[in-house]
Amino acid sequence: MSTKVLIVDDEKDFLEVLGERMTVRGMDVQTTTSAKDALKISEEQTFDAIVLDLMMPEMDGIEVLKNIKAKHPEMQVILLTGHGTVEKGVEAMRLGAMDFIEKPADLETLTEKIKKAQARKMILVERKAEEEVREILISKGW
Amino acid sequence: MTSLLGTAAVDGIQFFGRISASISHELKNSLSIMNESAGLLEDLSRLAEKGRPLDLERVKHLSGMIKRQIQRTDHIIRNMNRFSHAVDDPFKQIDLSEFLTLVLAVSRRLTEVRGVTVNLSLCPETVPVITRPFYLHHLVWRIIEFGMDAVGVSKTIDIEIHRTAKGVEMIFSGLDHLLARTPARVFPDAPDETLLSLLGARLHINDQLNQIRLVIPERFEI
Repeated sequence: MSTKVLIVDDEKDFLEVLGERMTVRGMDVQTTTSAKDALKISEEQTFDAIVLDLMMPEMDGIEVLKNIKAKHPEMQVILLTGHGTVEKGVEAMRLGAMDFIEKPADLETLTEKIKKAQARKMILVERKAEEEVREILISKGW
Repeated sequence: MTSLLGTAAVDGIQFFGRISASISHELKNSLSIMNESAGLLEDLSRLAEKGRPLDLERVKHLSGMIKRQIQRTDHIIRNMNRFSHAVDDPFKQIDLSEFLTLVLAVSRRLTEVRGVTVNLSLCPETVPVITRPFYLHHLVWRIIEFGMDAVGVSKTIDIEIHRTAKGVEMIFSGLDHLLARTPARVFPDAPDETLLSLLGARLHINDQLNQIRLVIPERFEI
């Protein structure tokens, strides 16, 4: 099963090219230039990783991250920062981002981080499923 | 005067840093697109070596994208250079239309992330003024920054330039919430007053017309 990724950045050309490069590497990629659309899409679909630009019009990456993690704590978010501020990156990690990477990003490094995100998400989803099974067993007294 | 200059210098350095950081972010975005485009050309070449037919239209499209980003980067750097040179001469004759165009260009990213558009109505003729360009740039930015909190639903600030008997007037309109907003800061505050003093300028806030008017002398002399 291919890795499913959502990329969110206000630069359309960047999305077009990065999206194609990731598709060539076998990933299932969706893109959007809008932070608000990203929230809507993340409600409707699950992704192994969301790659999110930190500085965007409408809503900055930190706000989007907070919104996503509030509703889907298992979702893995990798932040793209052009600002180069470690402080923002550290703040983002504190708020639940899996990692951050500075633009222009090396695709191999980004791909590694996406693979880690996929693995981490699988673990979280499995744990959640185990917890649910345990609760059912307890509630049924089995 | 010395302490005013000192205060303005400290605030000015912070302002300079903020604009520089914003410009560097734009440059990073441009570099990212070039980086990915070059990477995709590499990917397509490797695939062609393995036997996949090379899509020439795709190659042309990518090289066009790289060229556009190079032009964009060049434009950003030219504006950055002009902004940096604003501190060369403490007093200078400038064309106010051209000057405000540069102000908007270097602060475009900062207004975009707030979802605000700033439009400048260009004058048909040049508007020469002798002033302190860096302090004027800083003050105009501070007005725009305040204006972004007070802007109406259209999220648009319009700037016009007029010559009057009392000097050259810049009108910032579209500020529908001048009265309603709970100010994150008082306007004008101490740094604004310092800049007004250093420019020999006057500021009028008109909450009936939802405008801020900044008047500077055509020829500022100490």
